[in-house]
Amino acid sequence: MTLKIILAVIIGTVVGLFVPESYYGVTDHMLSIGLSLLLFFVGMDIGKNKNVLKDIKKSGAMFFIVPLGVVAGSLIGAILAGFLLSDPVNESGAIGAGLGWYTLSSIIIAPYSSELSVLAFLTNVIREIIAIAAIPLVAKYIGFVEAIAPSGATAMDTTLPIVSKNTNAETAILSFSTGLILTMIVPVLVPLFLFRP
Amino acid sequence: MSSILLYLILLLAGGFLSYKGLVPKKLYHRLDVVQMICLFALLFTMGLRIGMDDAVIGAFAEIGMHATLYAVFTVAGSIIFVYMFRKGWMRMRGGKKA
Repeated sequence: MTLKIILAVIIGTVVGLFVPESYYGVTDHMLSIGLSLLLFFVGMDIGKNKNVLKDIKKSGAMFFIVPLGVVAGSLIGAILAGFLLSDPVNESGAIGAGLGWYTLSSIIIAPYSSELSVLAFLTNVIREIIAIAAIPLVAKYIGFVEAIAPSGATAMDTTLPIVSKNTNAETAILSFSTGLILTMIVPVLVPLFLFRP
Repeated sequence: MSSILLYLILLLAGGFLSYKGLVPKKLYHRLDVVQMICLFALLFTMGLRIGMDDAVIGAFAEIGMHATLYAVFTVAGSIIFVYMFRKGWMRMRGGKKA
């Protein structure tokens, strides 16, 4: 899947090399309409899971604590990295606010800046790769709950099987609910850093 | 700001309609396909914009190095903060019981 996603961006980039810059404005509308549709369908997909409320009850206070830790850690980590690279706080914050959801965060950022969009995309793709490698180690040496942290929003889908395999059933449920909350937060948090009222 | 509100409303509206069983069956069973179509169209568009921007193409290697630094810091930050918050919560609960 990750490979297909990267391929779609590469094909678009190659085609873009031959498209006149005068069409740049058209892509703004394409992104807005496409993103609105995508989020509507993502919401439907979340609503399909009728056990959402049961899962929330099972997770207890950790339902809030883990996503809160992931958001705080991702934002502070990104802002620190941005400080080292002399990037503005709002831009580094927006990258961190992607919370591992590389497709959506980079698409939201695209109308603001193509360069930042690429940076967010690559950051979150690399985050997923690091997560896949780090989850077993974090589960073994730090703790099961902390093993959810590297995944970010992907804790409910792509990295869930890895969390599940290296932890226990309780942590797997917590991983799903964490991913669910983070998925709801990303579309709000990323624009909050970039688009001022 | 209006885009944030729009995204949130669309996400919640989709979730509500689906949870209440108000989505047409044909669409309900093909949600993953529809999502994929939207996603790949958006990724292609994002790629188009990258290809049209000479500055981005010229700085790709540098962006890759910056992205690695961002990724390491966000992963490390997430692990550290989840650990701190969990320990803090356990200490609070322990204090209440005692």
